Parts: sequence; structure tokens; C-alpha cells
Amino acid sequence: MSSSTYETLTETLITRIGIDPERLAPERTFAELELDSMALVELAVALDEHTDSLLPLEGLSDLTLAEAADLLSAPTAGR
Amino acid sequence: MSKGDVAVTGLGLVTPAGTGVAATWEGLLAGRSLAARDPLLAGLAVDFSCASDFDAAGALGRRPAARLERFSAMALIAAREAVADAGLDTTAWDPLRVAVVIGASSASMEHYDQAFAWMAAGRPDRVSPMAIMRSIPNMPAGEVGLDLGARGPNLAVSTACASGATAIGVARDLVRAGSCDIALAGGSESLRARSTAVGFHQMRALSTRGHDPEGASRPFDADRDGFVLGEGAGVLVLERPAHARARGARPRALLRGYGASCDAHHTVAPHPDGRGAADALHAALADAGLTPGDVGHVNAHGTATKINDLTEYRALARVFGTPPPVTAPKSVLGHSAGGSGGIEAACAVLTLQHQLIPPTANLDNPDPGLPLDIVRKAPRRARLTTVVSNSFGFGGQNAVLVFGPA
Repeated sequence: MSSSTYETLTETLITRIGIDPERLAPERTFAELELDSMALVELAVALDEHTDSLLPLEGLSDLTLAEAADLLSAPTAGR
Repeated sequence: MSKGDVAVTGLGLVTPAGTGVAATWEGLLAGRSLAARDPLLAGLAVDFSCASDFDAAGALGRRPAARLERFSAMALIAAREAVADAGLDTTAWDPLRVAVVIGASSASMEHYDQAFAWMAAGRPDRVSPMAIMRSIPNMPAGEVGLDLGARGPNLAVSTACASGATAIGVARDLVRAGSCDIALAGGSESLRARSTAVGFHQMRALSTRGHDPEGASRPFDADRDGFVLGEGAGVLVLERPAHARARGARPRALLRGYGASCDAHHTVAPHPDGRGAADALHAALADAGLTPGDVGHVNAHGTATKINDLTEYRALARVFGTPPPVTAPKSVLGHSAGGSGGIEAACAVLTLQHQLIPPTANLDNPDPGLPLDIVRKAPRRARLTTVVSNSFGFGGQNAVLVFGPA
């Protein structure tokens, strides 16, 4: 897991979605954080400013934050 | 009490004077303008506003605060206060019989600068997917319905700067018609957005008294030069008096009359004689079964633009001959467009309850061309049985509310 990408992801979850920082952990899934489809697309677009890859929306809800961070640091993922 | 009267059983306010009815009433009685330099507007020709210290994250939590525009967040807190003030139990009411009508003059512009910047940069794919859903003008009403589980008629009303007052009038009609038993009605808006500030400044509507923000909002003063951007929400709980009585609620006041009109004169300039405003006043008094002589106080629209205050004076002179004492709350709170009608309706109710008229700030040099009895410097005790609240909007849209004691 890329730690800088993970930080970008959690920072975006905090500032754009309003997730309480205490609820964040690498093994948490987006579903556990109660992100609905609108919040997931908001997150994906917000992250696009800061990362190499666009998060794929399909199946995103069940990914952990660590898995999402890995996808975001892989240059071709989701494109 | 006459047949069409509707009870006002609860009030809720978020304003530049603070969060809650008590803070706002205190701020109005203090009679000092709350305008100050605004970091959100830094670098613009007009860089000051009347800002509320309302903290959405503190009041609602991080998640709703990130999702909601300020106009929705303020409406939620004002509606919660109004419902608690009315002694309503949201778990016990029939949700299908609770209406929500909240006015806003336009979509919230709070986050659009960012969206437009991405588009200008050739990156429309980076525009927030929430841009539309968070900003559309019916969202304060929708979010209040969601928050309180109010599932009856739910809508926004848009009559520019009269929106909050029109919303209360329309909600009153829903209550009267039996379309609902309870209505949460008012307005909510924040004009503290850069594109809003630029737009109003370009049309020369704002005060440019940047060297003296606190002295900028000066309704009916000879040196007035425009309005001051503000923000806030005001929500009233309305019910038929029999419905309020049956659940043991004690109304704060009665909404006795509502009058609406259109100048049909010009896109934004009011009719030079205040024709439309006078029409709305006449209609509201007729609706209440009252005459001009019954009115003890007018809560003015009083924006501090040259033309509004002049035509409002003419309308008052036309209807009342010698108008009763007047006050202009925008001198203290600034102008929150759709929010103001709701806030000022609440102010009119409080004036009636306390038998006390809050002063107009900054009226150092009353305009000799507007010979009105304007309360200034300190609150004035008065024996009041009928209080009128005026709201007028671009588009020539006018709304007047008439309140009497419960």
C-alpha cells in the first residue's frame, strides 16, 4: 500500500465527505463508512486532482481503503 | 380572532447575531450593525458582509456539514429550533400532514466558483458530482423534510428578496386550505459567495463603504449607498389555531393576513410610486380584515439602496398617510435575500410579543426626503396589536405579512 496515496485518500474522505478521522483505518471498507453511490462518485472525482488513477466505481463500495489506495497508485488502473 | 387566522407556535433563527431566537433578538435590540470584513470575499471590490458565526459541523456533525450548502444547514438548525419551540414531537406527529415551505432567491453559489474554474481550465470532468444536488434552491426545504421526517407538501418559493415572506404566505394558505396541519415556513440563504458579491456589486446594488463596514448598512439614512450581503435562516411553525389548541400549544402570535403583488413595471427597479408594495400592503390588510389605522408598527424591507427605501417610503405614505413607527432589521443583520423574509417575520412576532420595537442601526442622518418615524438609537416600548412585515424582491415581487397577538 502506498502511504502517500493512502493519506490523500483519507484526507479527501475527511474534507470532502466529512468522515470522522477516528473511523478511518486501512482495513475499513467504503460500505462500512456508509458512503452511498453519490458520495463514492464525489470521492472519485475529488481524488482525480491528486492521484494518477481514477477509482473504478464498480465494486468500490466493498473495497478496503488500503485496496483503494493501491488502485490509486497504479498508473493504469481504472482507465 | 377571525376565521382565517393561523397560529405561529414556534420560531427558529440563525443570523449574523448568532444561532437561536434569543441571540438574534438580543442583537437586534443592541442596534449595532454586524457587518465586518469577510475573508471569503477578500480581494473583491466589496469585501465585507454580515456573517453568522453558525458552525455547521458543530451543529450537525462533519458528515452533514460536508454535504450541505450553508443555506440548507442553517435551515435545518432553524427548523429544529422552531419545532422544539412549538413543543412538537416529531415522533408523534402525522408526518404526511407536516408541510415545509422554505424560500430562497436563487441556487446557492457557495461552491460554483470551483466548478466554473474547472470548466474554464478545460477539466469539466473534475466538477463535483454534488454541484447540482447541493445547490438547487429547493434543497433547504428538502433537507428539512429529510431531517425531521416531515413528509407532507414540501417546496421552495422563489420571489427574490421576498422569498422568505412569500414562503410563509404560501404555507399559510396550505394550512388554511387544510392541505396540511402543520407548516414549517420561512427562508434561508447565504449571500456570502464570491460570484454573488460580484454580481450584486456589478449592478451597483451593494454599499461600497469598505472603509467603514459597520456603517455600511444604513436604511433610510441620507448617506445610504446600497445593501450589505448577509446570511441566515428564519423558520416559523404555522398551524390552525384549533390544531394548536387541541395539542395544548400556546401560540406566540397569529398570522392574520398575507398580501402578494407584482409591480409589473420593470425587471428590477421598483415602481417609482411604490405601487406594487402598496398593493401588497392593501391586500394583506384586507385579508386580515383590518384597516391601515389598526397597524402599530412596520418592519420594513429597508435594504438601504437609494431606490428601495425611497419607494418603500412612498408606498407607506400612500397606504398609511402618516405611517406608524418603522424599523429596518437589515441595518443590523444585513440582507440575506430569501433568508430575510423569514428572519424579519420572526422579528415582527418577537416585537409583538415583547411590545418592543428594535432600533434601526446607523440612522445618523435621516433622509429628509423620507419623513418616517424610524426607531433608532434604542428599542422603543409600544402598545402593539398589529405589526406588518414588508418584503420586496427583484421581478417586482412583493409580500406583506400581518401579525397580531395570540
